[in-house]
Amino acid sequence: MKTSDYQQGRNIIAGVSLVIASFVILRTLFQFSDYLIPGMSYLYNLYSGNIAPNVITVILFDFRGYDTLGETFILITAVITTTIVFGWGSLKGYKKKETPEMTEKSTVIQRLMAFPLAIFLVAFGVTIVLGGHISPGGGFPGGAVIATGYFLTVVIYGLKKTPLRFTHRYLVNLSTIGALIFLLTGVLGLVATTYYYGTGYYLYNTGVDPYDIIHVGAFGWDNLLDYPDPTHPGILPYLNIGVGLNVLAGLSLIAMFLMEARKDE
Amino acid sequence: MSSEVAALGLANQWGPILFGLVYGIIIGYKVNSEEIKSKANYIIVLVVALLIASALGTYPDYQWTLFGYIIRFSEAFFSTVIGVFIAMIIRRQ
Repeated sequence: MKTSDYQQGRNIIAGVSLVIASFVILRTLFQFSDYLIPGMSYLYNLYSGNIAPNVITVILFDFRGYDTLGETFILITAVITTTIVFGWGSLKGYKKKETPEMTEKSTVIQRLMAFPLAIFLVAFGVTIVLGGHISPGGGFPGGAVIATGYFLTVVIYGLKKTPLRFTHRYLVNLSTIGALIFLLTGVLGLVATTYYYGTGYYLYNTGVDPYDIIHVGAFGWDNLLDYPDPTHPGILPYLNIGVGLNVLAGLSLIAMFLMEARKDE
Repeated sequence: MSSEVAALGLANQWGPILFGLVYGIIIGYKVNSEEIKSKANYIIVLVVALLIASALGTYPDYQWTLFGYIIRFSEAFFSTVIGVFIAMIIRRQ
């Protein structure tokens, strides 16, 4: 079978998928008023205070969990685009020409201080991620701070001599694991609510159980996802941890590809 | 709520410690410590980390109660630094 035959088959599959997806979206939009339940907002306002002390986190991960999920995948799309444009072939292990290093330009003080400072930035970013449910911050800003720490070492020591030596594949894996933590935690809520209640709710907070659907703690293993913290925010810190991993890996990967792109000038 | 958190004390605080260690090991595993010329400043890094962790702990929700005294300390910060060092030691074996 020739390559063109495969391509034809792939085009047919893609066309059929597009038709099905378009039909589902149009049908949903056509009957959209049937899916809106006016009392939901009132219920959310009633229960949100019981979940986590930081209302922003409740809104980001509980009210608008889908929104944050979408943002996570927007970041993955940005990373894929940057990989395609600037890092062509680097995931397959192709070596490019040598990079002109910036090490000669950095002073002794910079070289002495950059690595300890990077460790502190990483630790501060993790603090922001892990305290996201009780203090201002969360997965996105925390991951960005950690990526800043990595970027500092890359700028000061250069890509070849940096002590924080991430590889492409390691960062891609971290980013994927972060997004999968978010997705699978949501699926767990879907499965648990379907089992106990009959109707599944994606991203249901199985650790807190605000609607008393799955009777947390009744069987001993249900409150497995209650984060060990005095505030008992349920799955929200785990979602923060996943988003933090995703963002730190994604932004570091973008920074790495942009630094590597300098050589082709 | 902060007094409530302080009253609960050490018992339920292992979440930030554990996940700080995990994050530190994940990132520190890729540290190539041979590139660092002056090994002497590791101790300085640890001491400064302790000071920063104490400074970050002024946020009321990070209080611990230890032997009747309230300690303000960001355990997530310090456990991440420890995690980075643990991963560096593992890599050097």
